Parts: sequence; C-alpha cells; structure tokens
Amino acid sequence: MTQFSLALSGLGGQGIMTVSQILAAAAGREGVRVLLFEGTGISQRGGGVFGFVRLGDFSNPKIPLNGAEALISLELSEVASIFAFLKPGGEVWINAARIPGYYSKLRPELYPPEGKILDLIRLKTPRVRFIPADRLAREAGSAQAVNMAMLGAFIRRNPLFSKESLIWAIEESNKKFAEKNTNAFRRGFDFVQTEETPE
Amino acid sequence: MSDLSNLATKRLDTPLLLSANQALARGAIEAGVAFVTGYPGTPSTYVIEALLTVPDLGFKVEWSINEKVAFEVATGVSWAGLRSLVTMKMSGLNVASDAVASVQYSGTNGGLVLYVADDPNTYYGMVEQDSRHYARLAVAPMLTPSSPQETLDFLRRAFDISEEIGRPVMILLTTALANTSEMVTLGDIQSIKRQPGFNFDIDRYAKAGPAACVQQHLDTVASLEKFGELTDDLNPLTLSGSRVGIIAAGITWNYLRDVVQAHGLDPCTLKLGVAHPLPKEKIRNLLDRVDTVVVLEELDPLVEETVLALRGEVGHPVRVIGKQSGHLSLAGDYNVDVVSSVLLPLFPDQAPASGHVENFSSQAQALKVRRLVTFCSGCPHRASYHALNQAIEQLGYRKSDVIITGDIGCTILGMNEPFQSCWTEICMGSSISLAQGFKYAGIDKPVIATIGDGTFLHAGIPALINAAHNKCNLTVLILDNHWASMTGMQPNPGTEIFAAAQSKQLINAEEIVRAAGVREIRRANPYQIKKAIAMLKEAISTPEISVVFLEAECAIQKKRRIPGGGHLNVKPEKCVGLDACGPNCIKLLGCPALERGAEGKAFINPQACTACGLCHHVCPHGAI
Repeated sequence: MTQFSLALSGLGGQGIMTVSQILAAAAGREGVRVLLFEGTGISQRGGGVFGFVRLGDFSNPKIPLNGAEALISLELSEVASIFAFLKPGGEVWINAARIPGYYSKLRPELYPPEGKILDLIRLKTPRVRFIPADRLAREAGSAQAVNMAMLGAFIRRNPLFSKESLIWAIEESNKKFAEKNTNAFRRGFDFVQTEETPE
Repeated sequence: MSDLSNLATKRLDTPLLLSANQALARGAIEAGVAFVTGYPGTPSTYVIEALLTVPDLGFKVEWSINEKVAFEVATGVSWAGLRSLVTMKMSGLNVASDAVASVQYSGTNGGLVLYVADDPNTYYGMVEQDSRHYARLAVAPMLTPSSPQETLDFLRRAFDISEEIGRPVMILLTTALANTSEMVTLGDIQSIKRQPGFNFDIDRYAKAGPAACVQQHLDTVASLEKFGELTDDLNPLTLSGSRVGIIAAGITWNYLRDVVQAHGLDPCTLKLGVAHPLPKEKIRNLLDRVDTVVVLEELDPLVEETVLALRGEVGHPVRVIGKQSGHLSLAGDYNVDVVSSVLLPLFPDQAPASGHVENFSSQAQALKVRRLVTFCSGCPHRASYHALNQAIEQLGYRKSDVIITGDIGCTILGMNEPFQSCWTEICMGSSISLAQGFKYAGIDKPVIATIGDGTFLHAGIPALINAAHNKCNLTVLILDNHWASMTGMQPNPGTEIFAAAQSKQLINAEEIVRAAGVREIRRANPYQIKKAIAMLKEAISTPEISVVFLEAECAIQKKRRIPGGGHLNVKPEKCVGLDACGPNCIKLLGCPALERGAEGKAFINPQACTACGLCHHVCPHGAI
C-alpha cells in the first residue's frame, strides 16, 4: 500500500492509544508495515495525549509538519495540538464534544468557539467532519467508546483495512468490551454513510 | 496496553507488535535472564510493567527500592554467574552511578545489562540529560539502537558480549524510541541453566589498594576496546561516492532514512549503533572521502567532538555541520523536519529549495485550551494541600511566609494552581534536606517538606535521619497514598495490599521515622479535613522536627479495586452559580469532576466523582 500518516489527539483516558493499536493490529493482519508513536506525557493528570500511526514504508514514527493525510481528534479544541502536522488538503475528523479545562470552566470564553476552530482548519483544508461521537457511543451502550465511533467514521471514508480486520482487531484489543466497542465502531461507520454534516 | 501474555511464548512465527520497551522485555526473556529489576521512571517503566503481566516467566522480576539498590542486587546475581537486566530513567542512573562506576571496574560473570531511558524534549518532565556521558565516565560500553527490532536484537547481543568481555553493558533508548511500536520478529528463547557460584578474588571484586585499582582501570579500558571490535558491525559505513557524509547516532538514523528516501539522496553514511566506544577508524574513513560531514545526535555533541578531533588527521579540509557550527540545537529531540533543515541545503540538485509551506502552528497554538496538570478526581493529595494551605492561614502566616519544599511524584502537583503550595523540586528525597538547608540559613518562619511514601522510602530516609539527628526544626508531610502513582501505580515496600498478596514483608514508614528519633509523629486522613487541619497546625507549631502522615489510598487504585462508591450531587437550588460565588469550588480545588453546568452552576460529573467529600466541605452554601 502507499504511505499513510494519521495523527490523533485527545485527553488522557479517551483511548487514543487503543485506536492506534487497533489500527496497528489490523495492519499486521493485512501485512502492512506500521509504526506507532505514543505521546502520552503526564496525560493522566489532565494533559493532552497525541499519537501517530504511519502505514507503509517509513523508518520513523514521527510525522513531519504538514505530513499527515488525516487527523482524528477525540475532543474539539485538542485538534489544535496536532494541526501543524496536517498535510494541506488533508482530512480532519473531530468529535464535536468539548471538555473544558480548569481555566475554561472558570471563564468559559477561554474555550474557543467552534467557528474559530473551523476557521483554523480551513487555513489548510475544506475537508473536515464533525462527528457526534459522544452520542453514537452512548447509543452503542458505552459512553467510553467515543474512540471506536470516531474510528468507524474515519474508516468509512478511508478504507485502509477491511472492516473485518478492524472488527477482529477491536475484539482482540479488549475481549470484555468487544461487543460494545464493535457496536460503537459500526455506529460511527454507518453515521458517515447516512447523515451529512458540514463539509 | 496490548495483551502481552504471549510474550514468553517459545516460538512465534508471526511478528508481534511491540514498543521498544516491550521488545526489551522480550529480549530479556530470549536472553535467558535470571533476574530483572529497576525503579519506575517513565519511559523506562514499561519493560518491567510488561514482564509483570506475563504468567509463568520462570525468573524473578521485581521493583526495587531505588536504582542504586537495583543495580547492586543485579550485580550480585551477575557475579554469581547468572544474567540480569536493570531498568531506570536517566535520573535513576544518577542515583545508581556510584555503583555503576565501581562495578564496571570489577566486571561481571553472568551478563549484566543496564537499560537507561533518556527523555530529550522532556515528554515526562525532569532534565534533558544525555546519559552517554555516563558511558564515558564509567568506561562502560553503550549501545544505542534505532528501532524496536534493533532494540530486541541489540539486547541479546549485549548479554552475549557482556559475558564475552566480562563487563556490564549499557543500552540507551530515548522516549521517542521507547514509545515507538512496530512489528518485531522474535528470536528463540535461550535456556540457560547455571549453578550459581563465586570465587574469592579481592583484586577484582574489592577496591583495596592502589595497585589493584589501577590494574582494574587498565583492564576496563582493554575490555572497552574489545567491545568496540566485537560490535563493529553495529556501525555500518556506506561510502556512496557523494562528497557529503552523514553520521547518525541511535534513533536519528531513522529520521535520516526517511529524508534520504523521500528526496532520493545518496550521501555517504555512518550509522552509530554504539555510543561508546566510538568507531574512530570508520569515522576517519568517512572523513577521508567527503568534504562535508553532518553529525546527527540528540542532546550533547559527543560524536561531534570526536569528529572535530579526528578532522585534523585527514589530508583535506572537512566542514563539520552540527551543534558547534550552529546548525543544530543542544536541546530537544530530532525529527524529519530538523534533519531536512540541515541536509537538504547540501543537495540543491536533488532537493531544490521549494517555497516555504506554512504549517499554521502558531495559529493552532493560540487556540489550544490551556489545561491544568493537577491531581485526579478524588486524589487524597488535593485534600492534603487544601488542608495545608488552610492550616498555614489559620496559624496567621501569609502564604509567602512559609517555604514548602516539594518532591518527585504526584505530590509535586501541589506546586500548580489552585494550591501553589510547593516552591521547589530537585530530585528524589531532596525536599527534606533542602528544607534543612533553609532552616540552617536562618529562615525563622516554618519550613515544610512534602514527600510521597514511595519517594520517602527511595531517598528520603537518609535526609530525614540527617535532619532529625541535627535536631532541625522542620515539618515533614509524608503524603502516603500507598502507590507510585505518577509512573502508573507501582507498589512500594509500604504497599500493604501488594505485600500481603506477594507474601512480602510490609515496611512501616512510621517505625522508620520513630527509629530516626522523631518524637512528634502524627497521622491523619486527609479527607477528614477539619481533623487534618488541626493536626497540621499542631505539627507546624511544634518547636522541633515533626512528621505528619497524611494517609489515604490513591483514588485511582482504590476505584480499580472497589468500583462504584457513588458520587456527590450539586443541589441547583442552593448553588448560587460559579460566577457569583466568591472563590468557588472549582477555583479552590481544581477537581476534574467539578464542571460548569446549566445556568453557570456547579455540576458534578458522576463518572469522575469518587465522593471524597472535599467540595462538600468547601461549599459555603451547603449546595453539595
């Protein structure tokens, strides 16, 4: 396959690393070369998390500036932390949910409005999709499975691997929550087909 | 973390997705180790974490009290003829360095490998230390792999060569490699069955007398040279005919490869898989064939200094591009962009200067939501720092009167808003000794040290003994949450649940404090906030050294063990709204479970809340 670089962002506990590892497992199953990078930092204590997934013939896992074909952000404003990596004209997939921090809980005006984030993204690309992943995950029976809903939505437009390989990788990654996770993945997958969001 | 229970499977025909840390864990299994130990320090933590998830390993794996002790225990195993691996982050190598320098001169019998993880670009806090200096300092061989696969392969080699030259071998990863995963092809698991034994040989195993020590030094130097010969293949030199040469150390090789491939460049290259000793002959050979050489190495210019020294030995001028030439930085880690910026201008034909493509990083940064690095929901340390600030205020001191020294681990988060309690952070155990220094300098107001239970056991005990012995009037708060939580909830010798489950002796820190001669010892549950404040006031007012244990289990660990536990609610009819409330609950506590809800009133996220009750205590309107 040709090269594909994906940058992911979110907050600690949202499951960025799980999404990366599921993609890597699917890549392994289909014989695609894969590199992962985990930028966890001290995320457990409230900071951001980022991850890189690179498919194809790369030697290093760190995506260069303007080098990612796509971004996935599990939180609205956190897309800003990986935006510099987006290739001009690339795709941006955002969970429309906001998780304010200490300062923006005290002063809500410190959290950027969606319009400003959209303006930022449009500096590089018109291809942005906001996914109501919180709702899709809840409908699938697991509020935690936001990451799976986002993965499903992304995969619908970017069939990097077969749906079967991904479902297998999701089941392998967590047997206990396999059903809820695959449900959320399917909800995300079907959402992109059935509903239109601002493009 | 992915499921690694098959990490010890004897043969696996298909590659396994492993991070370099996990590859080290597998490498230890393949190399037939008898013992693995270390101290948690991210990113090195995940080697032992991975091994601890594997059932039926057939060898001993344990967290040690600190890195120096870990290295010494492993040395004993090695001197008795068996193989052992020790893991630590760079700060831990500083702690272990006394033992490391000495053992290198005595050598080893069974293979002994020390894995150290550096953190250029400080993904995890602490200093940007270049641990390659320790290899020079201790006359120790050091390997620097560039990928997870190489990490596994190099570790196996390290054990074999450690035994061949009879010396410990260091293996250095950086965060960017330690946290990289790829499909790794596994090797066979060696079955090493050896009877432990040790021979009396004080010329080698003791440091008694200058003659023996000088001979040990000479032998160490000779063994390092032999290591260089045995690992020559780990420094491949490729002479392409280009007049540009690149020397790439460790992980920088991969950035170079991606740049070279993307632009179709063909420079001469020297990949350095060995950080110490450097392959001087190969560097000379490279310099002979080029007019310009680029040195790629993160942090300090150790290779570059060697190149500059050797440059005079070749018959023509060679331009050296690196840190001293001003092209590359001493700080931060490298990536494709950094490597491109120095490499591409040297190949104007293959990589013509294209217009700058804006990446809009400053516009993106401007929109980033500022987030507070703080305690988790329900963390007992939040209650402890709230109580401490209250106690200081109630005693009539201003916040700026009372110096509070902090220490390593979650407890240091007391330096951040909203508490801003801790003024300093040096290294493990230093809060107590630093506080003693402030008192010695003549600070007449109270000086308070805060330290976690694990950090106290690691390096705080000698400092406490020193302060107690010298009758220094300090207040020491041991924030005892039972776990090394910052690195992912490892146990320590005072973790009762772990000691009971593993049939280990529980170590009681309070008895240690008492044995140090401290008479004023108090114990409080930080969630019982009024009692805790009263006790802290007493302790701070005591005219001699006093120790307060503020004890409650890490909220995350407790929730994992006992799910449920309920949550608190805000009564909207009583809450006056965050903006109308003086210093409101969010402002005072910064608890992640507290949110701005409908109509600007406080709202408690039921998923995050642990019902610790602290917000109930601070709410002036009885709304929680």
